[in-house]
Amino acid sequence: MRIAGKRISANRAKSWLVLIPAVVVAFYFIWGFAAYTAYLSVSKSTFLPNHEFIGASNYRELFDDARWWVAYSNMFIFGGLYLAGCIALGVSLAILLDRLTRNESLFRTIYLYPMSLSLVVTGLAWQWILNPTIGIQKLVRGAGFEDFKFNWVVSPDHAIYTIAFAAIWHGTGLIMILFLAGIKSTDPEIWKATRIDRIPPWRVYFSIILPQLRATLLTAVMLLGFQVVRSFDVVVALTDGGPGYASDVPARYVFEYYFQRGRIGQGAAGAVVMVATMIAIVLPYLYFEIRRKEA
Amino acid sequence: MGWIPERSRQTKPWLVTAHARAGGHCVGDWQHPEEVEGKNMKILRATLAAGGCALLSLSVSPALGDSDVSHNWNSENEAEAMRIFRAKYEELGGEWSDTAFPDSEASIASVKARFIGGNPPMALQSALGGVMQEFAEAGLLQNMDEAAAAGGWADNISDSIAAVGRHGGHWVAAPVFVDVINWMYTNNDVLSGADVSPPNTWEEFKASLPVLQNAGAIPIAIGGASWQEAILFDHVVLAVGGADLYENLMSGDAEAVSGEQTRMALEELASLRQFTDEGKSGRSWNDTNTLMITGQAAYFFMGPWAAGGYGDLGDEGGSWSCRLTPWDASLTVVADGFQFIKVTDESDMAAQVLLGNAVMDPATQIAAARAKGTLPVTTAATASDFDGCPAKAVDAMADSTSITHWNGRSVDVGNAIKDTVTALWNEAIDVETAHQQLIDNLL
Amino acid sequence: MKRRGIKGALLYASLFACAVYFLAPLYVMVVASFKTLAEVRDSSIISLPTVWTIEPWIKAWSTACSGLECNGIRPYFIATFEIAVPAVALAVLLGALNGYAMAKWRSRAADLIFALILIGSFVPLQLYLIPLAVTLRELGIYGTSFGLVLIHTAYGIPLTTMLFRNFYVSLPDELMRAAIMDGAGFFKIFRSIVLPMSGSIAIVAVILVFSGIYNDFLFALTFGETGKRPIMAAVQNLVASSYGIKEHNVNIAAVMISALPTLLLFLATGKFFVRGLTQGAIKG
Repeated sequence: MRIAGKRISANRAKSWLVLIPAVVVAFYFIWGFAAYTAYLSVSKSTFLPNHEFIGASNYRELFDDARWWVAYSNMFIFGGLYLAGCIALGVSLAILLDRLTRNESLFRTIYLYPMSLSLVVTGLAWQWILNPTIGIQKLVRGAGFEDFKFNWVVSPDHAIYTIAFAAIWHGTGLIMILFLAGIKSTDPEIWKATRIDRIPPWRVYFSIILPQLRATLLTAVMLLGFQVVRSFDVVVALTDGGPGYASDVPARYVFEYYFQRGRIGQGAAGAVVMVATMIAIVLPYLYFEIRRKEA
Repeated sequence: MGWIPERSRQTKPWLVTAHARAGGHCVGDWQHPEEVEGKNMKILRATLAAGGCALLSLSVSPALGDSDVSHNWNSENEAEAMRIFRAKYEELGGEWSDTAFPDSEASIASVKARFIGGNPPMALQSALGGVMQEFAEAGLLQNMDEAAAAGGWADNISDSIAAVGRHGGHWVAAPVFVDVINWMYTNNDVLSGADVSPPNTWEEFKASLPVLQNAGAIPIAIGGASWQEAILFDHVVLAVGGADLYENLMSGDAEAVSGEQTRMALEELASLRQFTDEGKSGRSWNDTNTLMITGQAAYFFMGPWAAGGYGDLGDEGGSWSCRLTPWDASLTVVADGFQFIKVTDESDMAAQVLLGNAVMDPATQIAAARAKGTLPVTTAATASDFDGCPAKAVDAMADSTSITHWNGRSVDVGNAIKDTVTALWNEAIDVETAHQQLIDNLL
Repeated sequence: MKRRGIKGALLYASLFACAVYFLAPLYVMVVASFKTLAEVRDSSIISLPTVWTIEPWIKAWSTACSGLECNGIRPYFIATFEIAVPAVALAVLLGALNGYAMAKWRSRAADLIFALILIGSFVPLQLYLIPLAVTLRELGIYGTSFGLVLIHTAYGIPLTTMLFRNFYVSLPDELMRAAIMDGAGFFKIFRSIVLPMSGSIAIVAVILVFSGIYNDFLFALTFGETGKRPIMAAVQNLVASSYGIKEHNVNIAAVMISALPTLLLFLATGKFFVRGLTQGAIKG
């Protein structure tokens, strides 16, 4: 806005004074740090930062490491399941709640409360339930089904799925809330019109209402996508990357290489690849979405 | 922001960012986004340069340090041993500050992070081997020569043990225990329940596994960390090629590493997997120990720390007992002790001297070793100081070959063994790949 | 009529089925935390305790051992609040001021800064760990509560700034114009006009930032103070360690205690929480 008056310049100066923390955060804590870590990835750093430049050899080590590729592909497996699960379940719940005339807030609270818990708590809680010798497997076997098998959390081929399972439990509520708000904000006239035409409600949702919520979907995908790349807590708490390193993810790999292994250069290279991957996926998607809007 | 539908207002903040990401412009209500773009990039570059350069100009300066001891003696018997050291330290006038971790890897990781942060603990309890070497070479350990001379640290220990506490001729650590790692714990009730007599050879051991499994027991108790899996591997290597193979493999002898025996050891290891339970993933060593002690599992391969602290479940010699690897007369050993970290605060340095004197005190060491179930380094200890498992270790030392355990060797050797073993054990790779990986990483 | 009844029943059946999925972990944890150790080991995870005991809660709170210290999770719990309270206050106050300056005294440069911090807040935090450690060392506050306050304030500012900025943009400019005519300055306007209108958004910001800091694990793990690690790192450490036989009931009680503050906050302030989540979904 434009404010007329003599005091403006003094006030502008004050507004800059106030912005100092934001400037420090932006230029130092965020972009400066990112640049520094990018530099570390081409430096000779082992367990202490070392500023000697050594070129791309940390990246070579990283790409030669079978463990990294397990972690990296796990990010996509986990991410795909997590996005699909949260969005499918979240949208379904939003529609169900939208159909509800009573008790909506009760159910909404039930679906949403996991969001208030930390991912460490989430991981630890599911760890007990999924553990074959304590949890569901033992429960079902105890009920007389002696051959029942549900040991995904300890199976190298399936452990990553259980992480998605727990994370979906945690993240669905948010997606549900986003879509519920979106659905409720659509024009109520739609319902009058479709009732006259005797169009069944599920068709109204899927053919008329949901297509209007592209922006909400974009938000949901972005939100969950960034969670995927960041995933650390839930993995550490649930499987700690195991069995072996079968359910490792880049965020955990980087942490391990920074500190436990004392290979800061290689860890930083991993962090840079994480960010690069994120940009590589997000940019085309956004570009496509924005082009679509503008068209 | 006209392209955002009004009804999805709640998503607006996100889209602002999202859009900004896409084009590097169009934030909030800018009137002329195109105009700004070039400037944006310039500012961005300046930002990166400014922030990044500010950090690059920082140097890695010596740490002020903190007065705590970072350790991983967490189980009841280990904590008891640490309490004995603490009591002596406090008696000498020290003030204990405790930083405990579930395992050594976490403890060392924390210390490494604290080195970067310039606030390391004054001492780190760990196996004295590769990590100590790494820290010492980086100049991060304290020269304790004066304290060692004044406290007579070398008086009560053998020269070879004294060498473990030194780097480049200077004292940087106090070795306190000699851990003999290759123990096989056996639940005798489980064995006799399945009509199995305690195995003396690798063949007998392997033959007993299906029998035990059919009898409803978990033949081999094992937890879910790579170091635990690597300890199982120790016994397999000794079975396949004895002390020679172990030493040659760990010291990176090309012939041994790429040889047939190493491949066989890996194959034998993989064949044991079917005799474990599915709860192993992520399980700690002490929970795993409980399986053996409470009669759910038959065998448990673990270091000396598994021998103590289960008083109410019955002591060694009752329903469970410990034996050194029955199929080979070798001992894999590693010294455990306290590394002194370079700190600059006077009072912390004084505390280090007190801690060093406390843990090197023969009587204290013997008491702590008894509590933990291992052997003290002090030569003041006599056979009568021990019973149970440590006594067996003392006996065995007389007529066995002692080899340095992987945990006492360079960090790279330890990591190579653990990485390969855990990948193979958890079915990420097959035996051939595992062998190739060992060749790549050890040679 | 009949069809409607069936549909209604189907609707409720689906809702209940989902409710079971979402409530199951909570239920399992609650019942386990009131069982004796023997019962936890032998009974089914869904059975109610035959004998209810609060021993596990007491032990988890005040006497469970971690290393040589047997003080339960109480010290860590308190330490977390000592970090969270100042960090929340700082992040919210600075965010309000920044948001006000950006929304009402807009300049192109301020918008750019806003964009820079927002983009940065999606980057994986692993990118920041090493430079943070280096920075804290140079400030001499690595491994102190103060260091964590600084970290959480710094990384809380993007969220709070975004919340307040977007809220203030929607406030009518006429109010400010009038105030300027009356001779009010930058801070006077903030204090007497903007701040009094910020109640609800401030509550949203406090809830979100507090939950984020309380639930933080990565920074807690990396930068936590000796003996005063923030709660999530402490609980994870407690569960991973075992002193003697693993006491699942005590561990579960510890996890429950650590989950309570944000859970209760959510139940007590549901509306704000939802609003915060949808507005600040950004931070996740």
